[in-house]
Amino acid sequence: MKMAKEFFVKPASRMKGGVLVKDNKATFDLKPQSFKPKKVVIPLLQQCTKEADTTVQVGDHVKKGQLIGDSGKATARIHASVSGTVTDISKRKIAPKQKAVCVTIETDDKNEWLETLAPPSVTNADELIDAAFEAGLAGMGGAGFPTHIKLRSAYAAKAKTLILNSIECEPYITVDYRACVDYADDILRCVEALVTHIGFERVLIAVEDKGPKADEDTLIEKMQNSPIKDIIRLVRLKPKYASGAEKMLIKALLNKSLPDGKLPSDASCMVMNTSTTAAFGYYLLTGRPLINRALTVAGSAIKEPVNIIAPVGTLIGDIIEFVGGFVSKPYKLIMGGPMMGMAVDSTDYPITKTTNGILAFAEKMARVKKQTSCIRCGKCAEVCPMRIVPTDIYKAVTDYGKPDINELHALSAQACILCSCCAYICPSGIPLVEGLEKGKRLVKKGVRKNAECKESCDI
Amino acid sequence: MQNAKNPATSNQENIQPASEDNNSLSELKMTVSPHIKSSLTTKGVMLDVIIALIPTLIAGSWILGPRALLVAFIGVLSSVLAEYLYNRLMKKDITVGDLSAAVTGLLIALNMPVTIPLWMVAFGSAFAIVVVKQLFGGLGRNFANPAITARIVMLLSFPAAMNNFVMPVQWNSKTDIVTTATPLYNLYEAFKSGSPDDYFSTLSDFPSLTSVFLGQMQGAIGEICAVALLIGFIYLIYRGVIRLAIPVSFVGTVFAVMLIAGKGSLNFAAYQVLTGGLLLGAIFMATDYTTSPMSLKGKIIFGIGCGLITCFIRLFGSLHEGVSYAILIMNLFSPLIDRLTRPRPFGESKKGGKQNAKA
Repeated sequence: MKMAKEFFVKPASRMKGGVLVKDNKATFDLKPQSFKPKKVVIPLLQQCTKEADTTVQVGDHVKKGQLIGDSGKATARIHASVSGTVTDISKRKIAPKQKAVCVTIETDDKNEWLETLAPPSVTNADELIDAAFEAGLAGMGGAGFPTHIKLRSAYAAKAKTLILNSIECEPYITVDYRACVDYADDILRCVEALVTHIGFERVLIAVEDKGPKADEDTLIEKMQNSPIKDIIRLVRLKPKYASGAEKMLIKALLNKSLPDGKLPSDASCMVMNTSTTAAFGYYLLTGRPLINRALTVAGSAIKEPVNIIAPVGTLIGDIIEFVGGFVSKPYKLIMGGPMMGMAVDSTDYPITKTTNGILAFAEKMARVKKQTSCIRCGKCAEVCPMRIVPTDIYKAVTDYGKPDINELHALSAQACILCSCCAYICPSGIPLVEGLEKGKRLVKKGVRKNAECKESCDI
Repeated sequence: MQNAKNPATSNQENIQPASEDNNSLSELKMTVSPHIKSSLTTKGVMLDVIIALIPTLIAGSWILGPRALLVAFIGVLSSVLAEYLYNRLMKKDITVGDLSAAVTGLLIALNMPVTIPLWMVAFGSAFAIVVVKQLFGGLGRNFANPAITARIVMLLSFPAAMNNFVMPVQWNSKTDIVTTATPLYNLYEAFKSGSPDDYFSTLSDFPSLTSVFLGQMQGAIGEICAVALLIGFIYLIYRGVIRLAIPVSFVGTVFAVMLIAGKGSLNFAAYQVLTGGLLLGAIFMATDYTTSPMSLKGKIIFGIGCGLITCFIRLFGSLHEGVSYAILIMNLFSPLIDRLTRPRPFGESKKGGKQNAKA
């Protein structure tokens, strides 16, 4: 595609730090297969914010898209992801260290959407932001931040640039890539609405300069017929892990460095993941809220890597069964990608709006390096995209019997984005992320000398 | 701690039942992210250093005779043995497998004249491992470079043996007697004479720059052959084991200061760089992770500091060689330099960074 060149702009700056990770992406060409489980368990806590209140009762019959969880505008709404009967509403484990109220729905065969769902009428920014709220949108890239809140602050700050994040620097995962290929129409519809109503003057779509280019080609093809084609541009970024982190992306595209605590609106921009954008575009067309989640299932204990699309609340175990079960004994099971995902101890956890992958590793793949003493090689600091010194923070948390809060402040432990680059590179196999997580938490809490400190010595 | 045990033991027991029931999940491993790790290991890093030192060892034994290999063997053996015995005695994990003791032993051997009595090598190695490294907590916790400290202790304990340099066999095969006038001594005299280039022309058997570059001079096993050291240097840079900062700022500072001290004599400055332990020290000893600063800025300050101290000792001290002392002194400053040169967190303004450092 020669004419496509005009749709590209070069990145504004090069990333410092980060690591090169073998990407193991084998599912670029696999359109997600749809999976309909018999039962879903939908946690009412899907975002980093707060648990929603349930709006249904046990025994109720619900249809797809029906509201089941709502707690005002502080969180994203939660909708039934299947049609069927609510059989249970109770608190249960949704992750190894997290409990939340969950709505269990046994599916019927009808697979019906709620009849009252209709495309929203959007004529101004407020209506668009409300639409994002009604759609139950939350950042599908990982953090699950409610989209309507993000939009509100971008609108208030008169943000000029909309950044679409299609950088999936996590190995294995190809969900955002697929969103660009399969739902380019939805993405552009959403972008057009955002440009029209929120007032973005420029749209940059960040894509990874690696693997097949079907995502770029599809987007460009659709862009050519778009009324806003003059302000949308694609930006190819060199593959490097952590380049998809929000702060790194803004730095790469706009050459603006946001320190810890600053929001994208401070750089006059807003970052949206392409999967989220596609879900929003679909809602604008159909009025159907976000209830399905596309994810990559892969790893050495899985028969073959696949992309699937499943209702939110599907249990990991059902998904594993759907893709053919484990082919060898899983040694590690991960929700999310291998760099930032969470290891889980059971297949009994539901997927959420933010689960972009399920990985099962046989023993060999996930072998843990033996932990030895820090040799102060400084690699962790070299690869840290936030330019902090992970080994010093780890020591400040673990070394002196109790964490040294003042030292953690001086080391800017709170700036850590938990990208795991440091622990990935560490030749001594030190679980740096464990210390960083704790250090970050301690600084954010401003804890001085109390019980919390004692507890954290047990690392 | 659990991490250390599990992968090795638990999987072997589990392989059999696995084939029966892949869905039994009682053994799922819980760790914090990341769930994949780079192939970089401490052992790998140390192995790279050893590989990088091999050209130097070969050159040393080629030029000074095969006894150099024996010295190296004893150095490595006694270091590893000292570490093993210490670990056993203190009931700690045996850490000889990380190869760091072998590196220390090899570096000590390369800092010796080829004539050194073997028991002295063994003494130096044991001192480095037990006193300088293990008593401070082992790998990563020592504040001074073990090999450098051992060399200094030996210089003070056995000055005669440590300065017993022989002529390189190929440089002048007729005179195999021991001489005292090392190139550094001549350089010292050249500096005192006030006009180095004139002074060089009065010397009859002073080696040319080319032969010095190739290692045709007196000196310790590992410090004479610049070519071999540079090959090792390129290898370490290529493998990403060390960064350019310390060696370049160290050697660059020595060159610049000597150029001024020699009143612009390029010859004088070049001899200063190529003779003595400067290259060995700058490439292999000053770059020791544990005892040098981590940040780029810190490394440059460290390198310049080493260079300045080396020059002061060589020009004004009663010793002709100052590299070891320079590195040892800068080792002591490393923690301070590290504190003062902490990188500014991403996006923090200069002001914010300073406030952070003070807090």
